[in-house]
Amino acid sequence: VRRDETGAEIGCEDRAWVEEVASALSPASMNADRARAFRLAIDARTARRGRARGARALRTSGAFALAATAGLAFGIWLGRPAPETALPVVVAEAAPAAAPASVRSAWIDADDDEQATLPAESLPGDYLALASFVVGE
Amino acid sequence: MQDGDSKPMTITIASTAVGVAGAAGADFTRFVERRRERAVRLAYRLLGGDEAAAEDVAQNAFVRAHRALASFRGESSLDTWFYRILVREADRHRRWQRVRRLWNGDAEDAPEPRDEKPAGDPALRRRIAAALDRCSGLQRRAFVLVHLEGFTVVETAEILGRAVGTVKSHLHRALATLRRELGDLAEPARRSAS
Repeated sequence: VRRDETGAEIGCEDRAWVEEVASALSPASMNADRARAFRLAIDARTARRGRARGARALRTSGAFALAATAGLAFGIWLGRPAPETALPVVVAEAAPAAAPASVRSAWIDADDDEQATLPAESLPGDYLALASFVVGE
Repeated sequence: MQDGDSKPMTITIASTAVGVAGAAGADFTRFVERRRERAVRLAYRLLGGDEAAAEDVAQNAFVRAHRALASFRGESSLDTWFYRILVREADRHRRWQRVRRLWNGDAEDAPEPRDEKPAGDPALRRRIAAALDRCSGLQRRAFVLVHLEGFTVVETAEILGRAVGTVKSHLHRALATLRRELGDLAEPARRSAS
């Protein structure tokens, strides 16, 4: 036990038990075998950590590549040309009087008295929103 | 205090090591050789006498030091820098140990040493570990570093990243607590001396 010059000196009354504590809390000295095992363990851990870092970098770049591919695919899907007869809608009830002329004429031309199937693109956007309760996909 | 085993080692660091390469591997070998005994002993004392955990903690500290050695800027001494890593590693181990105890719902005693011939009295070691547990983390670290490991208060303050006055104050409180708990240990020593 070393006493310190900066004010942390321990008094005589404490020195004896502190030395007992220091002596009781002293691990056995390493022999050559244990020292070698200790060093090998450090080498193994260092190598494992290096491999783990490599694997982590690989996972990160893999995740980036996957995300980029998914993003590209989504972008292509979003930018796809609208099909010719997109979203056919079925008018389940008689076309409301407030419907635009194109809807009413489609209704009149429809074979079925009860229903008329109209291409969504033929409906004005505001009517489509207005008629969302009576028009189903 | 002297390091026990100072035999030269021929094992070199693995080639996959990160941060320190080539000839620096030999430097790291010497770095480990010079500090190994003290590192294990310090960890052993900080962990209250758990030999296996002390070796684990010391090894982890060396691995962390190995990674960071290339970026060591020399703002403190190499020893201070390394023992700071070691103390943090021991803290981390204690925290996980506490979590594991809570999880398992039991209070583990200090484990028996792995050697067939245990050094010292296991009951006494457990008692000391329990007394150290009654100190706060900073008190325990300050006591171990200054009074058991022989670092100066200034070195200890650098290792713990605290002001010198703070370390002194924690040392004082640690001594008061431990004197109360372990003061009777001096009696047999006094008796045998007389």
